[in-house]
Amino acid sequence: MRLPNRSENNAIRALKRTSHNFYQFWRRFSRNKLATISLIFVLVIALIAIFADLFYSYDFVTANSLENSFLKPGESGIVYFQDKEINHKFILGADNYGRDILGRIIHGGRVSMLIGFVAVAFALTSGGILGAIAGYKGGWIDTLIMRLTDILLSIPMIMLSIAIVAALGNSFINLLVAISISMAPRYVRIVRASIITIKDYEYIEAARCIGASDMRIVFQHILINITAPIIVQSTLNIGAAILNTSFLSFLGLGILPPKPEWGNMLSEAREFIQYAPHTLFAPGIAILLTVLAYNLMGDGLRDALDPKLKR
Amino acid sequence: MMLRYISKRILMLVPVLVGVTFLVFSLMYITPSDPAQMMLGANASPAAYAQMRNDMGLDKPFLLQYFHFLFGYKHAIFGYKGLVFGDLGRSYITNRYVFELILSSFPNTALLATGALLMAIMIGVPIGILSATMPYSFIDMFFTIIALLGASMPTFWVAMVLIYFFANKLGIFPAMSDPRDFNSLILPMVTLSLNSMAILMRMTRSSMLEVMEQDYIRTARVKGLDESVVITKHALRNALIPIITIAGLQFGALLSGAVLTEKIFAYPGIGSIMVDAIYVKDTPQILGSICFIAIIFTLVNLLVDIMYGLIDPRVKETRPKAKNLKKKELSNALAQQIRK
Amino acid sequence: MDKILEIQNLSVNYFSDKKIIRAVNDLSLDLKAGGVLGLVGETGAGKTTLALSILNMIRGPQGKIIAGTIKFSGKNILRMSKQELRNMRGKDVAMIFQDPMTALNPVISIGEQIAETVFKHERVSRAEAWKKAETMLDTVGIPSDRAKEFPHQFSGGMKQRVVIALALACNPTILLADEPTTALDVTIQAQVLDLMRNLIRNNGTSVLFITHSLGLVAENCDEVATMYAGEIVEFGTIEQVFGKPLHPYTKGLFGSLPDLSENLKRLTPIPGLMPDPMSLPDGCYFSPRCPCKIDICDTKHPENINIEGHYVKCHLYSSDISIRNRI
Repeated sequence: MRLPNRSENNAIRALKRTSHNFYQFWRRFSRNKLATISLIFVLVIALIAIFADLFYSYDFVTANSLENSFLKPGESGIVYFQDKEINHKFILGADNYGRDILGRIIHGGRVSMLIGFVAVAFALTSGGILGAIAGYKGGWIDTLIMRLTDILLSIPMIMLSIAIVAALGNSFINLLVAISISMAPRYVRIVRASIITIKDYEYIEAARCIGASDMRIVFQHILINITAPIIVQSTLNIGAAILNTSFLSFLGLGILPPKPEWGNMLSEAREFIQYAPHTLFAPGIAILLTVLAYNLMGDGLRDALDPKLKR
Repeated sequence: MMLRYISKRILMLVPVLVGVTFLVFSLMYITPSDPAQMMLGANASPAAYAQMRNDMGLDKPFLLQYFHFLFGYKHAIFGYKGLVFGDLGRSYITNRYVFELILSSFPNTALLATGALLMAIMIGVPIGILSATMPYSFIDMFFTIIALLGASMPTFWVAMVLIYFFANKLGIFPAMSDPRDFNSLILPMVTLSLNSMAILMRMTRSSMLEVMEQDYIRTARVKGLDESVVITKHALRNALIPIITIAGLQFGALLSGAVLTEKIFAYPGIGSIMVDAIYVKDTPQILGSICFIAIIFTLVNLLVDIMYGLIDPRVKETRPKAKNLKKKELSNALAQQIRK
Repeated sequence: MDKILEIQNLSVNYFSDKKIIRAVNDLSLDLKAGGVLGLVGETGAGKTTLALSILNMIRGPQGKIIAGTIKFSGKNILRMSKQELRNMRGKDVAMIFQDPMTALNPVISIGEQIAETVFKHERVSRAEAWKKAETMLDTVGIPSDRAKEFPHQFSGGMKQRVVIALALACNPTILLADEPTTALDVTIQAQVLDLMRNLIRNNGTSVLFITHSLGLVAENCDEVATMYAGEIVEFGTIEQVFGKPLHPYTKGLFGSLPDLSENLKRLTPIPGLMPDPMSLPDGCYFSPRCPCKIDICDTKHPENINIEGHYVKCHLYSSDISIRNRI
């Protein structure tokens, strides 16, 4: 067995430091009870969304069953599905086509989560790379990227998403692209700001160091610097992505029925509010609770990661 | 000098405006639906189609089309005057000028947005101040949760819920709104204001908290001033600067938020226009409206920026000291700022 | 001379993360009327806490004065009502803070910041208060036609002069000066101190001059007290303490000053660090670092010993024969 060499030692030290930092961060975070609850809630929703099929099959929630239209929450009805006659209890009631609302909410959650995470991941990567280039290179490319960012930011997020989907056409991919593009500018700014601070700071040190190891130091420092605001921004952005998606679907620009999505469930429910209010409340509360959970979690993360906090 | 500050800001506006119009134009350009086809209908002959494309200037190169988009194209059918002269094209559906419809509906939206902003400020700011004076207390926690709720609710859903409760069940407010009937404006204003109210609540609270920690507040107390004076005269004036800027920026957000609420209340504002256009896939109308809102948004941001420079004495540092006492008297009477 | 300020057995704690920080521990100190008392100590000794306690400005829940009395002209400050306190602050007792850059409100003109104190404490009209503010500005050497300008338009030294003007505007009986010149350049320091000396002498103000500089104390003060870990370890007139410092800490402070007449290769600092206020040692707080310590120093806290008006808290000077035998 040989002794670890220098780069391995550095890696080990970095790992120890990270795990210590993580432990400290976790202590601070868990003290905020509300944030911890939201974290659990977010995880639970994610799990339910991933394993949606265990609860209700996709075909079941998209099949019409008109005899059961507008059943109130808790009522049961006979559903003819796949040549079987099932006595099904509609836990949250049925919508205008007699479909199980809870099932549609669970599957809709899957779509929302998916778009939320993927769009944020996209925005983070593209925005992050652009921000890194802008911050690192500086000069005309920096100005160019910043102008682009300003232009994108001068159109409110919802408008931009609508514009892109309206122009490109109605599809899942276009929806993803639209939301990613509208969120990317924020990441550009965060990453660029961090790199600019680090660049001035580390440059002198790096000039004295030897060879490749200083690249790694600079890289490590950048990562440490940007991790916190990016995490916070991302949780908040997932909430925003979900809100945007639901609105676009509500307008008929995103996910179209019969595919379940919380927004399009609301647009279908719109005509029947007076008659069947549960069709209105169920998807709306689903959106509300999910976005709230992400916002609470993001808030708790920000407090836990902020070194200046007094309490 | 103040003038330099303003003119610098205005100059930065131009590339952004160019960029926005370019973006909108590019989106129009790549839209799958073909304007010529929309004009002629599906049964046009290839010759007529080609002729129409020529008439509309659609066979010209991309950048030239953009130039025409901005400054007009005389030979276009109907004579297109260009964006700079206020022509955003014609609607596919009504064949009227896009801009005409925007112009007639925008004042309604502005009315709604102004009302919502006032509501958000008058409720959000005092609650934020209250929360700041008793941090981490029960009241503070309560309002923090309310604020987070407000920021998490989908506006269009809130609109429907409010209609359900207040219009359908209780019958207090009408479900359809009209700019001339103030009573009918209450529900849409409340709906629209919720998001901004939540944001202002939180920002006021954090701004006040930050200010209250400052040394000069300690100095004020050490001088023996009453606590009410310390809060209103010393703390608030500093805290309000970022708050006012945020409130100003919120106006732009409210204008775009209109698209979320107006249709549900059948309110004839630019949001409804846009939603209608979306339903019928009237792309020029959609993109023209968005372009218009983006321009207004940028202008509002510019105004807020300028105002920010006016109300903070520290921004005007480059001025000669002993002179210009009058202007300093003016700024004395206004609120001040901390950097955002 | 009678005592204008009597602090007896003051103890102040701060609370953070369920830990208790003992900032001031059973501290007693008197300020003579018309005198200038220098309070010397390192950062973290509790000097600012002491000053804030005199104004009863320790704010809970983070901080609390847990014991002691502070008598000002006979009345206990710690028992005053909010109203009495507000009347006292700025008028009878005024304070100058260390950092002039942050002590002034950036959005209110300097004239107004002075005038509001005058207006609050003296029965004059706003116009008269403004006039007084202008007069004060002239007194501290700032042209009064700049009264409507804002703090950021002035340099650090001028800002501190505004702060002094502010403090002295209502002719206070006691002035608490918390390191008033630490943040300033040496040349400006001299100007500001000259100014302060004149104003104090003309008005007969009693001053508590907090500093970490022995030199400034020697120049400006009549009496001096050394503070360590929240208590006064030595007190006396300038002649007494500077002539013959008694407490090992004071001796260490003097010893760590570079002497230009000697050909020193190294400075002699006091080894070690100030004890953690969250876990103070038993016995004498200075004992871990003391070069002269005896075994009793670890277990028994020294009492305040009076040697002809020169007070010291050290077992080495104890009148108790059994202790002296152990030295």
